[in-house]
Amino acid sequence: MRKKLLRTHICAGVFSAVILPTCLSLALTRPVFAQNEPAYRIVVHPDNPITTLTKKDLKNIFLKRVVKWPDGEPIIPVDLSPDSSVRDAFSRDIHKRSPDCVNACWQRKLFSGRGVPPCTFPEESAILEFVRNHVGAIGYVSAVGDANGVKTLKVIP
Amino acid sequence: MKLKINLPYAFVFLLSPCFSQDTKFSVHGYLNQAYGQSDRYQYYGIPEEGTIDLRNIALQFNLKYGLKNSLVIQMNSRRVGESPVGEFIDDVELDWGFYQYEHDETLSLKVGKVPLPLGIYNEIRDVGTVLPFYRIPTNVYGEGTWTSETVDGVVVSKSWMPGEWMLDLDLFYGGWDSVTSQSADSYTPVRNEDATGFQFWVTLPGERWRFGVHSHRRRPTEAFDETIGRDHQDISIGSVEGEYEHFLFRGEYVRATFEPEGSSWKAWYLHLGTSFSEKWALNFMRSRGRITLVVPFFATGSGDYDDDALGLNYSFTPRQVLKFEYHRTEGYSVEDLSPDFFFEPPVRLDYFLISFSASF
Repeated sequence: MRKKLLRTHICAGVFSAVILPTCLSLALTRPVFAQNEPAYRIVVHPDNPITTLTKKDLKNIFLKRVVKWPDGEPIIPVDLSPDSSVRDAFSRDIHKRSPDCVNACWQRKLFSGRGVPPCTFPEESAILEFVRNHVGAIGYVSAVGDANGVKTLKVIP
Repeated sequence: MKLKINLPYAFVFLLSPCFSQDTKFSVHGYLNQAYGQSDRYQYYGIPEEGTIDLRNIALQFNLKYGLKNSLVIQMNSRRVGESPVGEFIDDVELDWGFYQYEHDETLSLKVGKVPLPLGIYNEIRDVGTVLPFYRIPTNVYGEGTWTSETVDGVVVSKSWMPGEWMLDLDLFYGGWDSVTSQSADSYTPVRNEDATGFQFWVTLPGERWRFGVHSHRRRPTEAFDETIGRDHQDISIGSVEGEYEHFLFRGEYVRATFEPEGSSWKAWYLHLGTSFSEKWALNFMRSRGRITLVVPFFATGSGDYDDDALGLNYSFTPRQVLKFEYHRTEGYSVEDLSPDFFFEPPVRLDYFLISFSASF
């Protein structure tokens, strides 16, 4: 009985001394992200007839829940590497999660045999090159900078 | 080194149709390596003197042709320390391998040795980079014992997205090999046939919370103990998983019933995780299990299994994670004592694990 009481006290102690303060401090220091213009732009092949996509469309495309464009062309989403600030902005705006979180979600899908994540490129120039050369490709790059040879889509909420 | 590849699965791959010229091939893999030590006795392969022989390595080959057809093979090498379960594990095994036909984005068919959709963790039970602790909760999933990671048969998956909700249903039929026991030091291989069941998930709008139900019935073809019947065994699992900002919550409850009537295994765990930063995460888990065994004309016995764990994880990157975890357990899973829950009190022991996980 005394042992059980002791154990209960230890558990309560761990909870109140470690977990609860951590939870509270994290809740109070929750980061606030800017709600201005997105720091990225969506790019597709110039021959793609699409001109606008909703955020929900983009989420479904990059999670491979939608795999074909309306004309039947396979969609090939491509990502920037997880440490990219543009990917971070894209991920938080579209998936409402950090790139790490999305990455964890893909690892669960991958190693349970439920899908393979989009190809990842380290540089924006590689994304642009890939999109220029693949009709069904879709990617994102920073909102500023040169994006010749690709079409920029309008993102609607 | 033994290498075991089941020929019927190989035929599934050889005979799979190739409809498209657009072929994509990718290779992925993971490593999960641990050192574990208990303060007394041996617990799930972890001895008092410690062991580094706790490891999972897997390589996955994924061949996709067109939008509809894919072949997936995953080879696995698994070490379970000093556990007697290790006797039934080959050095290198076919973890799973299947052909998948995707009718569209919402409907697919998998044939072969397919990951078994069972609860939150069964399909990813060795993928250390996405697990809070080195092992998934043993009270609910067993140490690869009472159930299986895969089903040799068919899995049909269907998804619906009504509005912001998501519904996912997996139906399966087939069989599997498992290893099971009545005491902690004696395990017997059992073939299970005619396993029929489902896993259903409801994901709430916002995709922060999801609720799951799993149920299946199977027929063991060999009795692993003369007191246990072979007619059928029923397993049901309820799952809940939620996340909010830096917090993660998971909980599952399993209920397994088997013959003789009145015998059962009931267990649950609750897991609370929180991340201090991009790098550090703290996890707490409380788990309980109770076995009730009816021996006709003799007695009814029951035993409790507790496992409380506290873990600290450091992510070098999302694909490289170092974990420190401490467990306090009480029960009958002590392999070198093998206490009998009919006659003896539960044994308490603590153990810790330091593990490193990586994936690509």
